[in-house]
Amino acid sequence: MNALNNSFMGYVRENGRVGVRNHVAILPVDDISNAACEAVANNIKGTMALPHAYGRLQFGEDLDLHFRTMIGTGSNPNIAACVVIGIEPGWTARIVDGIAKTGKPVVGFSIEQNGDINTIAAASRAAKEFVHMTSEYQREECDVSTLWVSTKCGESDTTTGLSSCPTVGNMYDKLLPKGIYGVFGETSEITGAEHLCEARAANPEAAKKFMHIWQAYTDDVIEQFKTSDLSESQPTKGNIEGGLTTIEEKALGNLEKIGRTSTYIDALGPAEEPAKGAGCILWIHPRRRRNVLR
Amino acid sequence: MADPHLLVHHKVDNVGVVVVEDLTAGTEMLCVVTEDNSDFRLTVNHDVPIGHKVGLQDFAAGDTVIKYGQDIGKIVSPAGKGDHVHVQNLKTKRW
Repeated sequence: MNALNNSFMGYVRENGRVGVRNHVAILPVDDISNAACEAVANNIKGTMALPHAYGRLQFGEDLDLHFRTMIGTGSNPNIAACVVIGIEPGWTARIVDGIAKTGKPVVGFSIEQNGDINTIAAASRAAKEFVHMTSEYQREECDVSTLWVSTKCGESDTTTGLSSCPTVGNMYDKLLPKGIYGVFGETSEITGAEHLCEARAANPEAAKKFMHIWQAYTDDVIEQFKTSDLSESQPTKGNIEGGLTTIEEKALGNLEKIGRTSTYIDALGPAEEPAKGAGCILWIHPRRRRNVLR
Repeated sequence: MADPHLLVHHKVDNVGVVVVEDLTAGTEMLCVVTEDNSDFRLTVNHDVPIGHKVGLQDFAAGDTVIKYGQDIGKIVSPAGKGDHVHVQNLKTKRW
């Protein structure tokens, strides 16, 4: 990053998005294709398998979320090219076609009728070609306004509220006015600071959307099923050892990451595509770290 | 200024955070309020680990604990000024 002329060195992708990494990803459609993906990543150095526990027996909104998450992951500009492996060709093609809309190289393989060994061989050959091609890509100087910065929880203790979270917030306060996309992902960990978070919305719609998503999560996921005050889950046992006592205290430290002056322009549900342009976006996510690709 | 033992975020906070290792009971701590850099002295009554909280006042059951200038929960068993404030005497008001 060059602070003097507001630029950074990045990989410009086919759709204009800019990545700071240049991965060749091996993406499983479903959990039973994880082993094949990991075998390909083991065969071809410079690739990265992204195994997960999803993609079978899901339906309805849950299945839609799975497809959005997989297509969103493959579409991430930190991925230069993507090999998709699924158990059968239909859903594999659905994810390949979704990622292909970015214009990046992507190819799919399915295991049924081919077997693991033949699939791994064919996918490894494709991955090798992708590594040859993408390792030639060069970084270019890009304006900071093309940068997306996503923040996520990082094992809170009381020093995070004193130092690292305010530092991240200071970064957002400085870079958001320069036109970056800032994605701030939190969930139940905003409980105790939701009134402050609501007040940081740039417009009433965003505030309403945030409170709706937060309230639904609280009512549908936590209140119905909790058997205690969640101590040792929220805050976690490690958080407590570090000195954090209550969810309110943890949430107030987390919210420091949004900065002192920044406001968010939209609040999104899981794997929902940001659609309101540059600015701070609050991403309410029930699972940890799925919106972050490092 | 000497290095502080305890940092307090806001002037209205009634707890501070230990920022040194191996703090032992009876230490007269240098306490700094990060909001305005003001300081005061307070004797800590327990061995309190780094990152943990010390009460700046006497608390009765039901009192609200304030940190970052905000409500972080309620006292469930009495705690004195200089005591370690943690899961044994402070609980969430949520959940």
